[in-house]
Amino acid sequence: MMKRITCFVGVLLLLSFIGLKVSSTIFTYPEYWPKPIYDFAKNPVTEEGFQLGRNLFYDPALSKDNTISCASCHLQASGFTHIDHDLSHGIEGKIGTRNSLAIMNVAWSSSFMWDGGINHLEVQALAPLTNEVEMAETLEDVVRKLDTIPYYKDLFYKAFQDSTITGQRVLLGLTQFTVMLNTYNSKYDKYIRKEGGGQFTAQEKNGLKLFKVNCASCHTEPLFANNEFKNNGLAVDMTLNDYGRMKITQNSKDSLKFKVPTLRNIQFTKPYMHDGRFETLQEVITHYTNGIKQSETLATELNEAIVLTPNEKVDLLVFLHTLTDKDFLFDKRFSFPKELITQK
Amino acid sequence: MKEDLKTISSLLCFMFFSMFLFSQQVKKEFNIMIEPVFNGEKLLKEHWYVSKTGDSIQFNKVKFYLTDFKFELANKSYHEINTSFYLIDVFNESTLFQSLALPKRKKVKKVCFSLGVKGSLSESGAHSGDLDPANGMYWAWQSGYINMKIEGVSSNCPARKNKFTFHIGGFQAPYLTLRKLSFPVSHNQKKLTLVVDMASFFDKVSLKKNHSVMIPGEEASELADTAVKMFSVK
Repeated sequence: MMKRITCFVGVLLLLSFIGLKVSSTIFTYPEYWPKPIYDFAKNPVTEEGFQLGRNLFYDPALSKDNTISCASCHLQASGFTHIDHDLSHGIEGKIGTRNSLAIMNVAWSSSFMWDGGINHLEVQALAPLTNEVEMAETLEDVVRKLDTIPYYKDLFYKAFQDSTITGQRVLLGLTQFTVMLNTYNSKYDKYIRKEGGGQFTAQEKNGLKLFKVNCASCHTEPLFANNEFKNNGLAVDMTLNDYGRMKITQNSKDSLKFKVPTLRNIQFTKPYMHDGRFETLQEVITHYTNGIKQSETLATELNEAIVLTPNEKVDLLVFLHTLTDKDFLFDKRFSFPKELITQK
Repeated sequence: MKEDLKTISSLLCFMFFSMFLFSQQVKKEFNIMIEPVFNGEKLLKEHWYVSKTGDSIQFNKVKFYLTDFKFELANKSYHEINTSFYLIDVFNESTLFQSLALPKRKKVKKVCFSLGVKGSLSESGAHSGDLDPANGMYWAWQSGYINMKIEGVSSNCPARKNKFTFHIGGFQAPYLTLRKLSFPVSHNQKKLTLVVDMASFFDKVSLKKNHSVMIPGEEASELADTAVKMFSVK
């Protein structure tokens, strides 16, 4: 009996210890921003969980033939997307059908992927992980592989106070890393906060004004996205025949609609659009002023033509460059963990 | 001395209290036995069966979720079994027996449960145990649980390598695939043998025409209607 009581007290102590441990979160954001959509209650971000996720993110063990990692298509220096590649790449040189999306401020996203097929951040990684032309792996196999590596047993223990590796924990760990990839220290942010380094030139100020009139209804501040799906007037690429969101909802009203992506760090996330068809921001701006293809599902915001003079186009472009956040793009906490090579 | 007595008596009190708590936890159980068959014949992996429509069929994988068990009581109220989510693999014996805690001192009239996973769980991220996406019952490109997988081969199936693949799921209206089941229970009954007759599914699905459904939609919703009819009690 005494043993049972001791055991009971022990379990209680342990629980309270665990309770204390996981209640600390290292996730922060500017207080004037909206509340994140991601619910941290089930998966509070801890330093240990973040480090586990960081290792998983950079580890090619997540792909079938151990050749590519999440970071292969989501490079930090380009806002965690694949610079210069129009369509995503997979194992054995296979090519996907869409441009890899940037991973930034994902706690404020209500759905994921260009077609919004994924409804929760924690299960997002399943898509690239299992896609035949991306990592072509199964979560079950990833668990099996990681389970043989003492380095990971240790990381999982630190993150979850238990070294048992499960599919859920792999996903929660990855989430703790990606949810921390937050950018809010661009020149624009400093301008809004009236901080040093945030003085806008007349050109940038005019660009912001033009932006608010012509772009902000979809690319809404401060996240420069609005969690909606829009047909932005791109002609269908007949080699891909991608009708976007319609595939998910099976509703013709969603034909040619794609997620409105964030414009943060847009200077470095090229190429642009769901199929990476535009190499430069100039082409993107010209698309909106001169290239809109009319169709039934075209975004109502684009019904009226956007008219910009050549000078205004330059001002808008200059403003878009103020969304670059070098602190984020070169933050060492988000870079390749060297321990993955030295200790794994 | 007095202090000692005090300590001992308080310790005794604590012990009785703990025992009381412990006894509360010992509950009577209701057992669910799942019996996969094909037209009354025990269902075996990679064994040939013939359907009414003339298809010869072999099964490689039959998995489904039975969830949200509850007992309907004599007073028409329900006693819900929290977190009762079971992934049944008909070729894995250990999943074919599930034990549910019975409510104390209450008469049970019916056992109710769902075939499939409720929508809210398809919208709330990564879960553990039988709901862990590592079980391969969660879609990757479009969030949501696969409520049931039926895979195998049939010589009549025109697909590659004669394979048929039915992944039945979808939690968004109008194409819901969750189906509810309930079976009456007699007085003092402590177990239920749930027969899953695969023949009833393949009597209605002709593999010549319909051999692969792997997305939510109208077809999946219709298959869910067909699938739920496989379940009966002995």
